[in-house]
Amino acid sequence: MIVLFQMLVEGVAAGSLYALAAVGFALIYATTRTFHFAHGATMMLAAYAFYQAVTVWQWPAVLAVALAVAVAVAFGVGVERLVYQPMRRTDASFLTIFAASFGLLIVATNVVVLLFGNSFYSVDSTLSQGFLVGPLYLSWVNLLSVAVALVSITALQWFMRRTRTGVILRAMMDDAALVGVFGLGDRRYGMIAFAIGSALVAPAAILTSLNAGLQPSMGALLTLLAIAGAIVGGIGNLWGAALGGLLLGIAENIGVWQLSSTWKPAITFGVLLIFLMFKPDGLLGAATRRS
Amino acid sequence: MIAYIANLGVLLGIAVILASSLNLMVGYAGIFSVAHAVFYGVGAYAAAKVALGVTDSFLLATAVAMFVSGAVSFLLAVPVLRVREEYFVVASIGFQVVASTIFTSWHAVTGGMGGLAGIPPARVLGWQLTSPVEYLILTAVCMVLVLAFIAVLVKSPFGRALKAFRDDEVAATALGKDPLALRVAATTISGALAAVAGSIYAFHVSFVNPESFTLDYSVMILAMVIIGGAGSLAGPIVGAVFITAFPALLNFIEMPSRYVGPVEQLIYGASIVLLMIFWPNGLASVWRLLRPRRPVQAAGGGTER
Repeated sequence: MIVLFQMLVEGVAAGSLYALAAVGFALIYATTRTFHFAHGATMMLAAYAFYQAVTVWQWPAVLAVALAVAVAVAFGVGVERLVYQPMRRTDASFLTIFAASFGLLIVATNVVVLLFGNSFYSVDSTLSQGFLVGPLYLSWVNLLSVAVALVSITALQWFMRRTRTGVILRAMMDDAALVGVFGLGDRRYGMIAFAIGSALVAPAAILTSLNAGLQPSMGALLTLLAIAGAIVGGIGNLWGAALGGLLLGIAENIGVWQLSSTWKPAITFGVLLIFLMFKPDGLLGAATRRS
Repeated sequence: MIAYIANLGVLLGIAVILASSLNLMVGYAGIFSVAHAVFYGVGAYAAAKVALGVTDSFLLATAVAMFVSGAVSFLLAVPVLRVREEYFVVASIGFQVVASTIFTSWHAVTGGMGGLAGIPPARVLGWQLTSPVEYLILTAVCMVLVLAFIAVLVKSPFGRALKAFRDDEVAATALGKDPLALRVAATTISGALAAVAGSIYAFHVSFVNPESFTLDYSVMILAMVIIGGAGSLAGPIVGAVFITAFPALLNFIEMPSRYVGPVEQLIYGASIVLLMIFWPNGLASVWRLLRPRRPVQAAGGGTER
């Protein structure tokens, strides 16, 4: 039973990071209608930038975190500006944009493989230690994951409700063309959505590298988790996406309690497939069925 | 040297079959799937099982493989195709991941990571295949049959209805066609055709294990379709040649071996991105543009949204 609770703790911590990634994906998708498959590449690049700064260049942690965020935002905005926007202008189909995004993920992953190799890196930090609460072991990274996710998502909630930019982004979620009619230029706001969505994966990148280490395949995996979280939560609903990410983290870790860890990805996608079959609108989403 | 070229030819033929059968979904039905290696794998395992346990007849093993793989894709398609296209992409990746886990973990049937070894050489109509050249001939015959079948299929009323839905779902529905039934049929046929490639592979290599049917390979098959040009007959063939020939070309460039894989993937990833921005109809459309009398049709997959 204690094992179950321990797994629950790990699940909530992992799920908090998935939630950040899923919210970022959902924000980008809902505002710009871009199925940003390279979202995980953003995370991977941020993680490797953080690793390079902290362990190779020996930068102080604050600067390394700033670099990771900067890399994430630069990649997200750059891709929107240089790849997606030109394609949207020519009215490219969903599948064309998806294919380009897919290609970007392959390119980013292999650039990292060429620079850093395929092997596993870890970042030493006192944060990966922890303490016992009764029989449960809590690590600082896990606590930090939950705290960062809560703060970021609350801040986003406030931003979307209380600022002018946030209101315009929400209007884009409802009807991007109409926002364009008001002369608010969805190009600029598309880049803002990409900047925020990409910045949200930076904490996930940093905390994952502290907790589980780095590997080039982490990008593709996180893309899948982010999308799965967004779908389970109900696409088009940011808070649903957060919930979906959290749920996947918990399901994954509780599943590992009963099955071997080779089943971890299969559990995530088992949950996803079940949702797609029986509740394709997700937990909090609007109707999405074909016809 | 002849054996090397023959083996490369067999791999190329397999790639052409896989890419062309996936094109039926991506290019004609407007369904993006990243799970084609699963159907290839199911076909290979089914053929291997028949060859090891029942008979070494290639035709019989292939028929069983096509049936099993078609059934699996049917079971995937029925519930999942009801959701929107962007969800199907993700569902197919999920399906690929779950299937890969099953390939490695279901020891009783798949032999786990060790796979199934000692598959006997294929027998076709009483003829025992032994040399790589004989396998090349077999592959070429299968490839031509599959391509001919697809060519006839996409020109049939069924193919035209598929394209109608890809281009305008509302208009096609107004004509009284059932999109779900059409898409399920396309997915099932596509899965069954991929099994032909699986069966050839199993007999040719005489060994199957999960490493040949991974997500990476599914991505590669999809890359062939996209790079060559979805929605045309020539596209997947061009794409399959491009992606299969490339590693062979890279062999001639001096490079530390650990760089070969990533450089290869980098090149086809970058090709996809650049083609999608500047030439979304793929490499094959370049050739079509050179023949001015025929109008260039938009074939970059589905056009809804």
